[in-house]
Amino acid sequence: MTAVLTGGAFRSRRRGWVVLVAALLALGATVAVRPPHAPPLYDGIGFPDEPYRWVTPPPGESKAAAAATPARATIQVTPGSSGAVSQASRGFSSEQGPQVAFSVAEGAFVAPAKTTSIDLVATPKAAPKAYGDGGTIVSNLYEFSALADGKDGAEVPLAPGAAFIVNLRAVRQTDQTVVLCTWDGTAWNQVVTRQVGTEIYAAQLSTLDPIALVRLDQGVRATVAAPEPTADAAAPAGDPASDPASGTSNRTLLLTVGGIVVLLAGALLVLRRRTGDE
Amino acid sequence: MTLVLDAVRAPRARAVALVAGLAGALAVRLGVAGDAGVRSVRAGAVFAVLLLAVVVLADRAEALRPGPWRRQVALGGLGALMLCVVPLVVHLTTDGGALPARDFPLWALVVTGVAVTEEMLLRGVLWTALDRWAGEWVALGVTTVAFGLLHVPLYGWSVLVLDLVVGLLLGGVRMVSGGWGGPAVAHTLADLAGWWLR
Repeated sequence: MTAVLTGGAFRSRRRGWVVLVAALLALGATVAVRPPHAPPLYDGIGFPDEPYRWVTPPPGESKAAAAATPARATIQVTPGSSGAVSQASRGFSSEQGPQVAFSVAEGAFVAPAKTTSIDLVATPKAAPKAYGDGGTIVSNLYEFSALADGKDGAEVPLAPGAAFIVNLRAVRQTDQTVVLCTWDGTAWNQVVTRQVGTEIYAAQLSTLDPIALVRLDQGVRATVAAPEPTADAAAPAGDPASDPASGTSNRTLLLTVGGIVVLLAGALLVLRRRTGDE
Repeated sequence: MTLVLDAVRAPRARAVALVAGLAGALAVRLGVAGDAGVRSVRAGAVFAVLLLAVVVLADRAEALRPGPWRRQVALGGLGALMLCVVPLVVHLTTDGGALPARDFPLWALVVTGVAVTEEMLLRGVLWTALDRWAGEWVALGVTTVAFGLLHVPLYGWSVLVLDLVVGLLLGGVRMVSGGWGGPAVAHTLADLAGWWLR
């Protein structure tokens, strides 16, 4: 069989090759300036979470082949009246389903005047001690360091009254209460925690103490009160919406509107066919 | 009444209905997914079924006509290679862990369904309708923009530029292959390769 191309089809294919080459060049340029931890390149469905990467797996858990990774952000600063004021920034660890992520608002840190940037890092460690009666640790411990101008710089504290948001991923989904706890060197201290994903928990921290997730035993209640949703307590970008009530109403709205639009589109297409447009 | 029927008969009415169907299916997908977002396999499957329904209602003949298969497979494979070069470079410079193998079959099935039905709609029936109405460049432009915007509710605005470029590349594959089969092959293979190249 011999394929015969019409003039129009031939021109179309020639233009198509030009489009392909242009798109390939644009693709390379786009990815070159792509921020780290950007969403995946191409996927019809998001990837499932990889198995949890323990630094030291507790009994019953297995160690993954790859090591747990830190979340890191280089926070730019601008000169202020009482020192260098940090800009807003976010950091994510590199696992598929980041095990730790943080979001820092503008002004969370105030560094010495000549500081040019602050490196904020959340490093995975083994939990120093079991939670004890009433709970089980279900994540690595994450230690924070905030250093002025890189790893050899001076430690930078949080500004007075400032806080930042942390998301931690637990080893698996559970119906039991999970709370984020800080480790002060001798004991675990619960922090007001919100579930923002199937196994992701968020908290607002006002110290740089190490943190871990603790799953409370059945019947054990958290010792800290449930939080009121606030605009400041939004989860870092890329994570699910945080308010369960508004999430449910949004879902209903989307299902209703989407269903109606699909039905209308289908009706229009059926009507068009019946009127004989071919 | 005549005016209404004339409007409904026009290719642009079909194009508008197809874009509306795509937007509606996306809204349903988001509603079904809830907190799971883009990772909801069930929502992906619902999305693919809705797209297929819209495509079949619009133009069953076009939906079953992906183009000459050798050309579609060859050019689709070339498109997939072009799409995978960049993720391969990214993959080699990051430390990814292995995903659980037991999740792959169902994930791959739904990913294939979503990719193929998106291409049937965008580079298939919608492309043909737009081409008849306003020409090939309009078809390329509208389907590229639709492809880019389609991903925004799932991943946020930061993906728009990248997905516009990917949409342009898939449009290029459509032009050189002469059917929607080529873009479908490229889109599906690139998505599946993402399991290893993420």
